[in-house]
Amino acid sequence: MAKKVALLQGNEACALGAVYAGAKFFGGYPITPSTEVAEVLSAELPKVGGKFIQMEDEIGAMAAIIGASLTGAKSITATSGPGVSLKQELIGYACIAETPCVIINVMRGGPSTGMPTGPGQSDVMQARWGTHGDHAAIALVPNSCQEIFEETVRAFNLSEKYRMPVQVLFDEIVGHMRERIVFPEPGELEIIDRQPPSVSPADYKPYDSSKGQVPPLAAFGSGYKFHVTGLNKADDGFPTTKAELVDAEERRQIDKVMDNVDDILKNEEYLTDDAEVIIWAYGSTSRSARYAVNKLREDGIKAGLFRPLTIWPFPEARTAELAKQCKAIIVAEMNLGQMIYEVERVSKGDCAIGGVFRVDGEPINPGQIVDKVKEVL
Amino acid sequence: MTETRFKSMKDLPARHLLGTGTALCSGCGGLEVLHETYDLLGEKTIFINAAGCMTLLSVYPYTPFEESWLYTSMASAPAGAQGIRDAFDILLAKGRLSPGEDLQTVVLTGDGAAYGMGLSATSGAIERNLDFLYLCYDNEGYGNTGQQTSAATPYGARTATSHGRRGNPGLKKDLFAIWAAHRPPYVATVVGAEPLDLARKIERAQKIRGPRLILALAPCPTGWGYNPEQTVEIGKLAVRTGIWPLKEFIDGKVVHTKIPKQRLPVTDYLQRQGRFAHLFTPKPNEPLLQEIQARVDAYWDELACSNQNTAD
Repeated sequence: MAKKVALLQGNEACALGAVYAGAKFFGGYPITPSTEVAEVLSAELPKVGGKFIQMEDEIGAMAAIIGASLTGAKSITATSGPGVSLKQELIGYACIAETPCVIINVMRGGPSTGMPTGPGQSDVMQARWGTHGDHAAIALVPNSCQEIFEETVRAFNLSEKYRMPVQVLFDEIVGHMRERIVFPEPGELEIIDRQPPSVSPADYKPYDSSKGQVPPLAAFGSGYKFHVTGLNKADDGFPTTKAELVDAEERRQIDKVMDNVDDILKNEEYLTDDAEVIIWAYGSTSRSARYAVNKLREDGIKAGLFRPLTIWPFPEARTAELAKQCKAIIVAEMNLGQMIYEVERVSKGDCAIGGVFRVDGEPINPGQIVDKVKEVL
Repeated sequence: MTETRFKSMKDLPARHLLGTGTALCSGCGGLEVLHETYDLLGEKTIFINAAGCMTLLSVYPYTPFEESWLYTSMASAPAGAQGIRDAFDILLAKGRLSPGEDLQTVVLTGDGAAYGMGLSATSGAIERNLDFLYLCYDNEGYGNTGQQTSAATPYGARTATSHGRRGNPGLKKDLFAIWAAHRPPYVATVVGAEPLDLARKIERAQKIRGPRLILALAPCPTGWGYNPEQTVEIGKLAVRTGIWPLKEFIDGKVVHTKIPKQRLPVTDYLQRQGRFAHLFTPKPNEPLLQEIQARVDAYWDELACSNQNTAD
């Protein structure tokens, strides 16, 4: 039987991807350019026995999805840069309390209100370091409507697997663009659920990592009683200031991500094998970059595209390899240079680094990238 | 009530301060109420705006205002007003600003901010006895993002996030009562379609110092689903059906300023608006319509019993 297809907006694809992944709870607040995610889920979640709730503000929305997740429901919220700023304290809370949840950030320009109806990619560092304190971060950056659907599913999987918040960032262009989507059949994409406890309620400790870096997670009301707090805590969930316990917990929460980067990272490469110049781009900018690569090849320049689908953790190893292989890496992003810092850091001077930046609400076009490559080479 | 210079419609300002040609929707009930209020406040007014429809008033390279404005974050307009008012007071105390140069501090937000995200900041400003006027244009939803449900959305109305056959399941928050519970010197409800009532209230508010809060029903053709030319009619129907009581809280008491003598059935108001169309088609949802009517009746019955009313 032919697969179901539809012409969908990126934001709509995100909402349907969440439903496919098994989301049962959305807590959110309207904000351009992400509102359609909420609007579609307000209609779709009740159909699958889930709940859509519009909260009084962004902070409440984040608190609600943490509560729902700890009570066993796969949970999601959707917002844009200013909303993520408001959620930051609780994103850190979800990190330390090890609560699976998915945060969609449909990026516009900034800071502050910026240009709500225009695209931006200036929240990528916010996704890494927006909340205070040491913590690991996972952030995904799809570049098409189909990929938004699939990466939203992957975000839920990573969130459940590693018991932590996962952010999906796509810019307003992809969020509002309409493309053909082929829906995967049920079961076609892997769906991962959090690991439940294997011990009796009496023996359950919510942060017991003796059997693995990611402790099993019970649900409130399931017979397992446990405490959750934003304070540093021991494996039983109770607050502690004991130095060795605090240190071990902090490090474990970062190690559970950094020891598993191969599982979390996902990249796409195009004509990189013999490339003397690599365009390093993500989100909608990577589509301009791919066009630019073809144009450069026509002009006799061996160009290639490196496109991360996971930007956090940063694809360090592969970026470093490419830096050794090529003469130059050109980072193209709709901000004034954010991921370029990471590319510079890991390339350690092995090749020239150039940036193509734009913050005027217009997309980076292939010509800008072509011009920059010719300037740097 | 006390002396007023607004005895009849003829006494209303003939000159309009707010510039025209803004990017707002035609027939905007919020713009209507802002027009009327600004004429009375005068040009020595600084507006502190939270994110919402009215942020579209001032777009490069034009402004409809005679003075400065501050467009701050969604939750923070009354807090932003605190800083401005305090700084003006410092300048006045030091003699670096003459009383004639002082600006009235006016917060302007929609219901999304007023009923929800900005309520904590409003509560704080009232508690600190901030000398400001708050004008909320209540279009009963997040209008600027496409009319999602807000805490001001009435029971039964459909919005972009309330799709069910019964519309919004929540009851509109009673913001007037919440504000009044803080015991500020003045709270009032208004609607642009009753400009004389509005003018008397703004006049009253201007004579008082401290927190003065005005809650304006702002019929919204785009979000409510009616023809823009009907904004005044819809506003009048909100009052005549008793759905939007015109009242004020002053000297610790609630006083009704316009009591509809013969209340029209709520259906006269509801069936004019697309957001309530599901209550009438394919056939009328009588239980829900009766429920809405009963709530309005109960409000006015309780008022009659409490004997606290004063007709105009």
